[in-house]
Amino acid sequence: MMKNLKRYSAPWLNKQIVLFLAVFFALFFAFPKQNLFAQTSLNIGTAPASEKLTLQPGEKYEGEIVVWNLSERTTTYDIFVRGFRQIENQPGTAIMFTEEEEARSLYSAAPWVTVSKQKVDLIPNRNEKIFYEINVPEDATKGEYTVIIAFISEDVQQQLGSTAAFTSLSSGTPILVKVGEDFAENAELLQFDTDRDWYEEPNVKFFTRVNNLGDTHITPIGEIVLTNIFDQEVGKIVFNESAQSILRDNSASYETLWDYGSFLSNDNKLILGPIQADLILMYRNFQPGFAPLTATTSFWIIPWKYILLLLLVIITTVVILKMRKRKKDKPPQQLPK
Amino acid sequence: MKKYNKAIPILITILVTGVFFFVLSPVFRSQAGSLAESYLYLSRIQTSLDGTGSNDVEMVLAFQASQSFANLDNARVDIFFPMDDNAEWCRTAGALTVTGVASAAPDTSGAIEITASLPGTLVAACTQGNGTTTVDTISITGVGDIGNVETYGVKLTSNTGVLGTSTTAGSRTTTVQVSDDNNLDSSAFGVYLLTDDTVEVTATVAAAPTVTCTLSPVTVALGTLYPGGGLVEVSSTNQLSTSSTNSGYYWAAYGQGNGTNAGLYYAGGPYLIQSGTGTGTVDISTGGTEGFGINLTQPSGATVTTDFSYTANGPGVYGSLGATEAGARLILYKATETSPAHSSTIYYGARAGSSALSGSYTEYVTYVCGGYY
Repeated sequence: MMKNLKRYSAPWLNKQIVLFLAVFFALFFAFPKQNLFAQTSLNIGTAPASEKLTLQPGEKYEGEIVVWNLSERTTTYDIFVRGFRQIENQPGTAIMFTEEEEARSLYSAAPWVTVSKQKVDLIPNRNEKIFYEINVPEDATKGEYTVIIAFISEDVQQQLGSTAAFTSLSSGTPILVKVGEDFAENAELLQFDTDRDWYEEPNVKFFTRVNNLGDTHITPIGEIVLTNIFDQEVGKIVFNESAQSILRDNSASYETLWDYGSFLSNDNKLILGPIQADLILMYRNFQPGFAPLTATTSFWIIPWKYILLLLLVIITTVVILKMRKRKKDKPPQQLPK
Repeated sequence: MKKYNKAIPILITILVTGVFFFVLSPVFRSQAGSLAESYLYLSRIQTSLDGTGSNDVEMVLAFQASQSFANLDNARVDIFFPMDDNAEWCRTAGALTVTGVASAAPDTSGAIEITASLPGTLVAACTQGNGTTTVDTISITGVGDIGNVETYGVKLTSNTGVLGTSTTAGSRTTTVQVSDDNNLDSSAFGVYLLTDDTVEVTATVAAAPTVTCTLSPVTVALGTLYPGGGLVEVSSTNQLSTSSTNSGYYWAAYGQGNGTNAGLYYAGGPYLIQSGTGTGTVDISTGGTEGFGINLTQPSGATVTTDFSYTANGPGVYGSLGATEAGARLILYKATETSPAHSSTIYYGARAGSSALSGSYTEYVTYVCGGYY
């Protein structure tokens, strides 16, 4: 019996080891479980980010999407093929339809699309090609149809025994398919405004809302020209620099930021007081100049802190000068004889 | 007084001559008016178009005269361009193709709308100015009788290399004049030119635009929620990160909840700690409230939408999630190329109301990432 017992020469060391083991196990089991998953991450990259095609009834198109995974573990992604819509009036965005929306949609190209896989295992740091084929029906009517080939990570089912949020990652390639020729491109300007009426410095946010009335997507581009009270041009901002599009039957809001950081323009024009902003934008592919949309708004730039400081300096100077003058004007006191 | 004696006869002579000049000068009756209901549209509004190949430009002029003009009195229409643009609108002097049009793309119903095509046997020519006394001019002759009721339309198409545009960007003042031997109407238009009016890039791009998205971690434990208890907020290392080429990126999010509304769901109850209404924010800052939502920090140069802004929302206020793809909400975006990658921290907030059932609640949040089209 004695030989199975491991004893140390110092008896107090036995107690320390038991205590250490007890603390270790207590910490191991009591530690919150979410930390076990803290390093888990999802990653997906897609190319191209979008596709714009012009096809004819009866035409077949073959394409490919390359996807990759830069995380440290293999992730399975389910592949969905559905129509899509914009997200909350944000131009150029895409969220795939629900099954119900898909069933109701008139302009979804999803029924025309077949993909080479229904799900894909993305091994870290390796590209995977997904091939797709679009077969436009012979009787397809003229107009633009949309479809997204979307990848959604499979749910990570974990039992935490406590309240939790599980997250999935989704990305995809939206495809806009124009069928036919001579599309009706038509749009209206619903809003052109600034977020405030006045600013302390030239840091202005413009809101522009455009409604697409045509039967194809539009990509409005243009300029916002800024002029001061003397009718001098003090700035020119590119509108929709990243060429975000609006789907048919949709409206979209654009934000344009003018952050100039100076009260003088490049050619020394004053950027103060009332500023007029003139928007001119075009959206047609064919002869864009025939249908520009224009609008005007105005705002003030009042650097009130600088103005206040200047006034204080002026007032102080005037007071000091007056006091000096009064001192000078005052007759010298007669010394008592 | 004496020294002015010589000047008085001279002044009288000048005065008398002036009176005679006005009284005896040839009688010329002319009525000048303004064109109403008018527009001048260009098919391209880009600078430096030279009228060749894809740099072709067309014009449509619509106008309503204030008076009548007669063919017999040599009715005509002239378009004058700025002096500074000499030889830029008329790239070479020569004939233009001119057609009366009864409607055109810029017509606005109820506002300015062409109602009749410009009558007559129309002939148009572009003549260059000399840069000092004459300007580039488009002249349309052979115009028929014009009344003051109809809004007339006429389209000018360039013969190769004739009609172009100014090399100067911005507003170019152009004068349109309708006249005959007796009367004259005119109007000035500001034609705004851009350095590039190309709407969409259709050229083949060698490198395809890409977007790469990361979500970390996959699971977020909210610990234990106590009915009627305090607010639980978890942030730690929850992050979205994105890099994109070409045209920026966006993130959206939606929950699952009970299938109808997003939120933390306990199927055993069932009970839903709802993420608000799926619009706006959910305020769980005070005791007795219940809800679930997320906030994000804003990476430099990107925009977190107002409802989900960690800085804009006060303590205990979170963006409300919608359910399923139909309820997806935009949470973060940037409209230009992003490199190196952006990252944003996500804060999850939850609070159970006093009537919440005890159990393990879960919510499946899907984050959607994409590049703009």
